[in-house]
Amino acid sequence: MSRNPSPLLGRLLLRLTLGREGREFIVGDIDEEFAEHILPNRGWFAAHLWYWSHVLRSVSNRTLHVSPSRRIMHQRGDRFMTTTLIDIKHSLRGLAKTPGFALIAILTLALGIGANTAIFSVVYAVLLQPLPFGNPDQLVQVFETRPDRGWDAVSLSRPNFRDYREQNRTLEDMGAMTGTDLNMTGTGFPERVRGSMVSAGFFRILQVDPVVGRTFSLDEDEPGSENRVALLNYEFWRTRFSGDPAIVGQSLTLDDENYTVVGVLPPGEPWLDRAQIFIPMVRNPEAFRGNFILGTIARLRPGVSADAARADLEAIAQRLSQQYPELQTQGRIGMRLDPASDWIASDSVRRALWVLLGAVGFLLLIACVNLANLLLARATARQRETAVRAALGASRGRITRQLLAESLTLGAMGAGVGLFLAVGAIRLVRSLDPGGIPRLAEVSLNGWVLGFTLIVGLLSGVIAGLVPAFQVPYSGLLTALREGDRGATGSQVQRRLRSTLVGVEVALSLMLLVGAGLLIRSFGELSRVDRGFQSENRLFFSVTLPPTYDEGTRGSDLINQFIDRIDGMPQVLSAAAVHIPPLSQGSTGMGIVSNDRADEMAESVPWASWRLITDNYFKTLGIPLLKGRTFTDADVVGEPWQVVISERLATLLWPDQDPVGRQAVLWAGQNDLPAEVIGVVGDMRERGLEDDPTLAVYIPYGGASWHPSFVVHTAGDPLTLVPTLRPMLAELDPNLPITNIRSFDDMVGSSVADRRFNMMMMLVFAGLALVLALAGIYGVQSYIVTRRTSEIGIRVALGATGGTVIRQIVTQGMVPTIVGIGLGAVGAFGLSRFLSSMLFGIAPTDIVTYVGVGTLLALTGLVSCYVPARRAMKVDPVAALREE
Amino acid sequence: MTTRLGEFEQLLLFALVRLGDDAYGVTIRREIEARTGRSVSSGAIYTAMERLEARGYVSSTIGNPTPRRGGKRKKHYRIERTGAEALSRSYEALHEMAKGLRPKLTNLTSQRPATRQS
Repeated sequence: MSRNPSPLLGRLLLRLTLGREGREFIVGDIDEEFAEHILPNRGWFAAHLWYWSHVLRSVSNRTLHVSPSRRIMHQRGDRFMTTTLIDIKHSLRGLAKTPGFALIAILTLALGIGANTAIFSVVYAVLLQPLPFGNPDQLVQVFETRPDRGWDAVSLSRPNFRDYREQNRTLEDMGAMTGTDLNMTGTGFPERVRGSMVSAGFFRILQVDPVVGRTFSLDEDEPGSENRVALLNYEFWRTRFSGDPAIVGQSLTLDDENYTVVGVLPPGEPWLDRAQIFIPMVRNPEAFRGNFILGTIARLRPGVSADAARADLEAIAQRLSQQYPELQTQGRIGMRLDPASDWIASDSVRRALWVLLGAVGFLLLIACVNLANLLLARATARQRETAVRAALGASRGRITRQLLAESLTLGAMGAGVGLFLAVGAIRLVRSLDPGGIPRLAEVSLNGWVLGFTLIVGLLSGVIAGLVPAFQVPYSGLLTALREGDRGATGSQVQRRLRSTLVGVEVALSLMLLVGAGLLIRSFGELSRVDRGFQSENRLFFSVTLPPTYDEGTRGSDLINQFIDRIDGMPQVLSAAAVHIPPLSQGSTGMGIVSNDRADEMAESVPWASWRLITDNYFKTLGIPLLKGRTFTDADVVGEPWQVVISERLATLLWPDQDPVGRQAVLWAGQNDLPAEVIGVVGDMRERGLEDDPTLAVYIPYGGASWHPSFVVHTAGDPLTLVPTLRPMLAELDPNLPITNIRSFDDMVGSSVADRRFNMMMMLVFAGLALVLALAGIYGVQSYIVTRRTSEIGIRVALGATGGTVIRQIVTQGMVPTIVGIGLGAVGAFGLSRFLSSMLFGIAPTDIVTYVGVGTLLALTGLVSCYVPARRAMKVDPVAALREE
Repeated sequence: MTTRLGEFEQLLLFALVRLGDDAYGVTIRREIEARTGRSVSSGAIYTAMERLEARGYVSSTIGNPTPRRGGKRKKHYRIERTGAEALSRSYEALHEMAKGLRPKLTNLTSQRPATRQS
């Protein structure tokens, strides 16, 4: 609720339902009183309660108590509208007379519709909402691909980017971005900010307009240029500089250089949120061609297709790969152009969202089936009323329409309440911020979402109302009139119909439950997977070293001194540094071959990740040393190169041989550095729990000054260490900021956060489905038992024991449940393959899940059948007989 | 011929007399709620006012929009002479009927129904 605090939906409702006369004043009055008197005095919830009761009462007053002049107008007006209004009025009265039924029906629908609205609003924000760029259909993201290595999206190197940009004939322009962390000083505390270097034309290609100031001009990335200029990200500008437009023209000290702020970018994703400060990427003719670091975008020339552009770029790539051996292509370089519509969400996020939307669709279907059942019971109870109306001349169509009007009214009201639930759910999800959902802050109710809700509400009304509507008794009119609502007429058909509905409901629930079960099992498998490292009581944090630390061993001296000080603390068991922590976005890679098999491996050079580490890294992370030795203080980066490698890499390079002491070639094909393997350590999943353990090469930190991340293993809660770290580092250098302080457990947790979120959502939906199924089975069973009260009475009078009767009722009642479970299992079997990419460690046909879920549903069915049967047994046989 | 005023219509007209120039939907509603404890809906006010206006008891003028009302205009109401006459007739009648009954009424409302106890 932003500028205008009154709920949009209420205004919409008033707009739709009130006639033109007086509407403006009523809406204005309610808005004014709500904003000026109610909201400031009563609190959010009470105020909204007031608002809604006021809106609804005004609507009912204006639509039901029509003034005489309006009544005449209606009669002169369209016949269809007139009867429809009468039908709606009639259903509202009918519902008001049975508030219990109305409440259950509306709540059931609201659950389904609310869940759908909430998920759809996420789907809209993530998948459907247009990007904040001009002409986004001309924008593409550009990657190279290496089919020979199975890499389908490789960032570009700076020289390659330059060549593509200059030689292509299909693109208007290409832009590049790469991340770089910056130390911001001179504004109080030294601060590490997320920075990004962009080619000067980057934001022009996106066609974004700055909020204040300007974007980079095209010459601002030229070498030698004295223009040190910077653009601020919107959030950073708002939070760090309180959104002050006067920031433009001021200067910031970044990595000890002065930069002038020239503008502020608009909010939005992607790209615009990649960094807090953007600076030009100064063109560097010397840059290494084998360093693939640039995220690249391009704008197609008008009328050029992405395919044509790809062919154009691939031709250039072909020339490059022949010209420059350091590209190590060994095969060909392909190009991949992703349309801008794919930028927001990765394939896995998109798929997960569609699966969740499907799941809530199922939930809504279950709710509809439940409602159909309720309406059916209601229709049966009102058989006499219907028969009377038919006898008085109402046509079958007229009666059907009236029933449909009732279920549509319910659908509309369910949609209204559902919107409320959805708003609550969206707020909840936003405040939890589970991670892994792009554009989460932009998720909200908007016109599209409201339209979706409206359609879903009406559809559910139709679906739920169809079955009862076709049950209008017409042939047995006389019997219906005579027997009223206690008659046996149609009860056989009714019973069968209701059992069918229960079967359908159970089947749908089973499918949802199987989905949830599979995700839960996957999550369980994932948390049990052998990570190769220990995360308990470990703390990670980063320190950025400005370029002054590049001289000599200044950087690694500082790292060692700091580690020594940390080690000296009583609660610290071990401490180490690494240049890229596990589970982080950054990655490094090198080709590596064994010296004695170099020729044989030239065709497919293994690609390994590499890390600079200090001597205690393995000990601190609990990675076992399998062979040889680890580093000591004496080992340094550089010649003679000495490395520790992971077990998988060792087996790959020297199958069945002892790798310790053997020679490998590092950066094979690029620099070809000979190195001696001094040790072998256990494998670890450093790219994430779901990815296979990496082939890893470890290099000593000694002498290097890459921005280090430190990891500390403590005896207790590692976070208690935090307050002592800053002063300790400040003693060594007061200008170094400590950032990214997180426990390793926390890092592991957030690396699987999206998975956990999907699992929780499915669990909630499946839980709701289970409750609805329970209510559905229970309702039908109670109904059947009530109908058979006299029969049961007779049987008990004739000597049947309680046990026999209960057993028989329960057995009969279980038939639809069992059939539903069977059908659901078949359905789940068919649908679960859509889940397969979201699973880990189990097959979509995982038998444990199916059996578990089936048992759960069967038990649920059993309970809901048993309770009404039990109640029937309490009936006094004499009383039951007398009723006959 | 004049129709009699309903109770709600009387409340509305009294509110108009009290509020004078400041009478429009919000103030009327709040006046009635503050004095009688009865929460009436805006819709009901306008429905009744339209009826009263058709009978010539009240007149209305359209005011200016304000931002607090989401840019919607106000409708001000004034009681007309015929309305004032009808209201005072109703009031006289009620007053006559009620004269001197306060103690009796209090007595009646404070009485509890006899309970049957053995």
